[in-house]
Amino acid sequence: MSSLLHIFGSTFPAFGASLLLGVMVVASYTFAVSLAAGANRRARTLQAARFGAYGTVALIGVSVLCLAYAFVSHDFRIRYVAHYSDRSMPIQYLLTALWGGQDGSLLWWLFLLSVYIGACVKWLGKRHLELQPYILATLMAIVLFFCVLMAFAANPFATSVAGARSDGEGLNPLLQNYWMVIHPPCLYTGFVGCSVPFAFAVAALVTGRLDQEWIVACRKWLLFAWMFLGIGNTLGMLWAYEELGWGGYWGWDPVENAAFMPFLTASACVHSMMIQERRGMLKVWNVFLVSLTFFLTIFGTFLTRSGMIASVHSFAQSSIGTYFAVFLLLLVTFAATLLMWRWPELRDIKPERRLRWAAVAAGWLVIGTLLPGLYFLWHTSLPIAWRVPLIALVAGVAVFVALEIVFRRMTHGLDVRARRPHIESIFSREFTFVLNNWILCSILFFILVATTFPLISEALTGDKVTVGPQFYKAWLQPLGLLLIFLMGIGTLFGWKKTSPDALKRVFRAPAIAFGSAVVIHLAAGRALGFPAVIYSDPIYPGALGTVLSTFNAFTPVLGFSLCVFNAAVIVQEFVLLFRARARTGASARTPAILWWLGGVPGLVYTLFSLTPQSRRRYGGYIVHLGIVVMFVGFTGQSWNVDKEASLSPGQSYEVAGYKLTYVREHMELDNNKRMIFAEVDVAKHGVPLAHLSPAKFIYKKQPDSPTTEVAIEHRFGDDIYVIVGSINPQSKVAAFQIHINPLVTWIWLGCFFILIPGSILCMWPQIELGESRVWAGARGVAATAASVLLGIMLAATPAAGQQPMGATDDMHGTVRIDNDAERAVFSSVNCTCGCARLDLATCSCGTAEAARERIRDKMRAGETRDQIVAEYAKQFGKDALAVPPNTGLYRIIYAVPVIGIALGAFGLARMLRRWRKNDDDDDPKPPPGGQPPKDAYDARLDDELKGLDG
Amino acid sequence: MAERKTRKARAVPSAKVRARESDEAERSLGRVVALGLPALTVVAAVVVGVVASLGSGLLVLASGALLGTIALLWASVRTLSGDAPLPVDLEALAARRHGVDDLAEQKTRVLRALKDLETEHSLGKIDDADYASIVTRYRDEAKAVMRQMDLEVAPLREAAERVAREYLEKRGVAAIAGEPVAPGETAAPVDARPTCASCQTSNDPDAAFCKKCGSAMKSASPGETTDAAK
Repeated sequence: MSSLLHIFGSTFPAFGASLLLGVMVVASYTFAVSLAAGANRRARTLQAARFGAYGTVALIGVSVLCLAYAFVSHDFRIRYVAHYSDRSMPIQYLLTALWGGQDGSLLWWLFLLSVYIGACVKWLGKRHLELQPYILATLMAIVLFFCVLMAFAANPFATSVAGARSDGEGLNPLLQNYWMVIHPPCLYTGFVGCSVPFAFAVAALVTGRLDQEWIVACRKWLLFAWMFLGIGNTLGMLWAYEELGWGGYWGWDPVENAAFMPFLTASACVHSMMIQERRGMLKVWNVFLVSLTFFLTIFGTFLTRSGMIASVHSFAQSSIGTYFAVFLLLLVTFAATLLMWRWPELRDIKPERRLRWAAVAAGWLVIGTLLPGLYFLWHTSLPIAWRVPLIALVAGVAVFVALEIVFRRMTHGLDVRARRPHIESIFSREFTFVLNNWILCSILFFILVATTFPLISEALTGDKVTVGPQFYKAWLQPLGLLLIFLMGIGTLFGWKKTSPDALKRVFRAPAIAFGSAVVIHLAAGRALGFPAVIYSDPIYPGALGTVLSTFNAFTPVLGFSLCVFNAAVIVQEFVLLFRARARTGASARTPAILWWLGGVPGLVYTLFSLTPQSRRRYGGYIVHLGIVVMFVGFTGQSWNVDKEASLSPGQSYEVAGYKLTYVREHMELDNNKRMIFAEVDVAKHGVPLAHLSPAKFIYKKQPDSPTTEVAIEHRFGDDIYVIVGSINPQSKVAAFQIHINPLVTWIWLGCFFILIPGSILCMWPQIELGESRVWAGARGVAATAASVLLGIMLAATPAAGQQPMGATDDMHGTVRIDNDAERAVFSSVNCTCGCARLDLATCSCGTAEAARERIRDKMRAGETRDQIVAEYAKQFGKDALAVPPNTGLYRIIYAVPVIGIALGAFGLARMLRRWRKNDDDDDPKPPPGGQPPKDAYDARLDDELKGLDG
Repeated sequence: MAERKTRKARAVPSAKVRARESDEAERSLGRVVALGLPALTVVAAVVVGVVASLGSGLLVLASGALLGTIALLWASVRTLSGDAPLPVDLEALAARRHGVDDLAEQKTRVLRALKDLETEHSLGKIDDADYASIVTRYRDEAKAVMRQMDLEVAPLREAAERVAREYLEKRGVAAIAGEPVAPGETAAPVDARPTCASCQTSNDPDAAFCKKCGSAMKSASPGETTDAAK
């Protein structure tokens, strides 16, 4: 056996590489057969394509297994294996290394995509026979892209030129921990999942079947991807919080933004799809959103993996950027052309060949003529800050006007009025969903511009200006509050129309809750340690900075009260549900014993036994509740307390009501490191709460850069987060950094215990006919139990995750910040050590420490913050600023999004007017066709309505 | 000549039967491979993984997946070339596919709207007056759509009946062909729907038991169908 393995092994890397080429061949075959199936519409060809798809999936599985084998057998001839593993790594981290580096993560991406393809083909079965060929073809095209990428640019099976090494380099220690085992697969599951809805959208566009069919078909797939994007992002926060040791969980890093952006578009899409289902409106918008979500998943990967934007996540980068850029370009061109081709159907106009060609020609003509136009506009002498938004505006308006003119001309005389969308009232859920789409897309636009700003600013001025968390915090807080406000409002409205009286009735309780929350917070907040209003330094000098910081000072009270408002809204919705059920006698179907068991089982049983439509609705409310709970956690940030203290053994330090006592230090040794622990007892009002052991690890390989290990006490109220900066070997004096982070636990609770079960409730499969209610209920309870168990498992893992896992290369020092004034200065300038984009308040390298010392001297000499920042910028260039200055061209970072948001609002108003106008036109129209056979049809209608699940 | 014809006539069904049998065999082989190969691979991989090493287990899994790939591609090529049989119902389904049915979609949407309104009304989000006016509007729309659908279907139904009648005549089942279905009967299928005696639920015309409460329907129709069969 071993000799056989040896022979096999001698050509193993070549075998692996040829497997990838094999995948390429099989995927091409399937792609071709799928297209043929689409063209000849024969079941036989389609069946062949389905087999081909399964074959592709299996072959991708073979290549992943081969790479796993290479890791397990320490085949260091393969460069990727040598680079990301060594002989001492335990088995679970060897498998983590599969997605630890770039080449492997691409293969892992492909693998997850193949799992999705397998599941999708299986699920499609005999459904959607018309769409299937094109769904398969689209998915295969994506597979082909990844194959090409791996075969030519990032082959995970490539051998090292120098031959096999005796041992590998090992995985980046930052990645060697529990969270890294589950975080990337979860996030990738979300990312890759966006391909399936995109494939459905393309199939719908190609076949012209733009009715509800594709929407209904891909809703669950989108929801699934959305849920995993949410889980992946939350796990990412948890990883940053537990491992990176800077006291926070979200740094607005490009990689984090890249993962967050598709989440926003997917959230918007989940809502707008419901409108198309009910109204047949927003067809173009839905196709656009699904495509945009997919585009963003690829674009995010491109941004961060191509090395174009520096990020703390850049564990591996290479030249794959070009491939991604070409793919993105192809993607946009293809999707745009397809969209223009189907413009007539999407606008509910009878499709004619000339209309199609007109749409495509008009679209591309506009884009074609705009390009030279843009060039000239660029070189005029307008103030440069306004050029970019102006150009964007002109381009957008020109495309739109051109298309409109063409269509007005060509559809002149066609009667399309009857099919024009209309809504009954502004006071309807439809309209609030549209508003929600607008605000979600506004947030997306802001993040997109700020994330790509280094590229934009480099193109415009030559300076690569990075954008720090301060910028995002200042600008996104108002938008986030608006979003959470709309979330509550939207829930209060019903579909179609909400009567004014009913509206007053449902608004009363939540409004009272909101008002009392504000009053109580203002009155008692400060006494309880949660002040309602907190002023911070403006990010810009001048009026704009003052306005922003004044508004944001009210974030704590607004955030908290809006959360209370939302919670009241959701509770009220459930009360209404149960009242309605009591009236119809439906509530009697829930066994009373379940209510006696504490209520929750009864609620769960009721929810799972609702009809699918209602289940989606109330599942959605539970998801909202999860987001509210998470938002409470985010609001907690406002009350963070960060302190520094140097203590001798036995000394105590009081912070925010907690008394931390440094007991002693002790040292442990293992094979490759010395571990120095500082033992700290935490007590509040004399009651002991916890025993924490933050540590410094000194690795034999890197004795000069000891690593910092965080100790966290997770509590429902405050997290106590302690880091030990240094321990003097003689005097045993230890320098501690203590962060008291209120309400952080709520984020994890909200995600794992509420958001996930809520999403599962929404996705819960339709109960098949013939399945008894008892059985359906049992399935519901089983699923809830499983999801809760998952939640408990995840929530219990911080203890496991906290175990020392390894060295952190670039995080070896600690940051000492003495007071808030220092923090304000440090967080507005970046470290210049080349650590990518960390600000001075976060970076722990020697350069940063020196810079901090210099700034401290200046502060002691009485210089103001603005002076210091200006000097720093003069010394190191504009790119050393964490927040782009509010001058000249740099203004576009907020000007573009703000203009975009305003344009969105304008478009919204216009759309609303059109809908209302259509409605008014419809109104006086008498019911067509006279009255006679009314009774027969009425009976049939009632019958069908009864059969339709509510 | 005549003899050859009869021989051929006799040979054709036997060849058909043989082909059907071999198709059936291939289908069952396909099922066995689809279930057996993954199961066998996983079991073998676990055994090898435990007995030898994890690496060997992974290799066994990979070989199983590779075999699966080959089998799947083989199946794909055979299906494409027309040698392999299709799943029984796929062909039928594929023959029945239809274009986008605007009216049906419109109907679904209006029905959904009515249902939504009902829900909102029961939750108290819409007043009785508003509810009544909007519902009337949507009901009218729904009825208009249904009427339109019936109108569109009517000629097709006639054509289908004609085809069926002609076919039956050709096959010599004159008994049925002799009594053409009265046009009134097809035009008003609504009235043919029986109502359950115990719970008043409207059921399908051929229902033997009520779909809601399960009690036996009064059996007027079974007698008719047996007559027709004779």
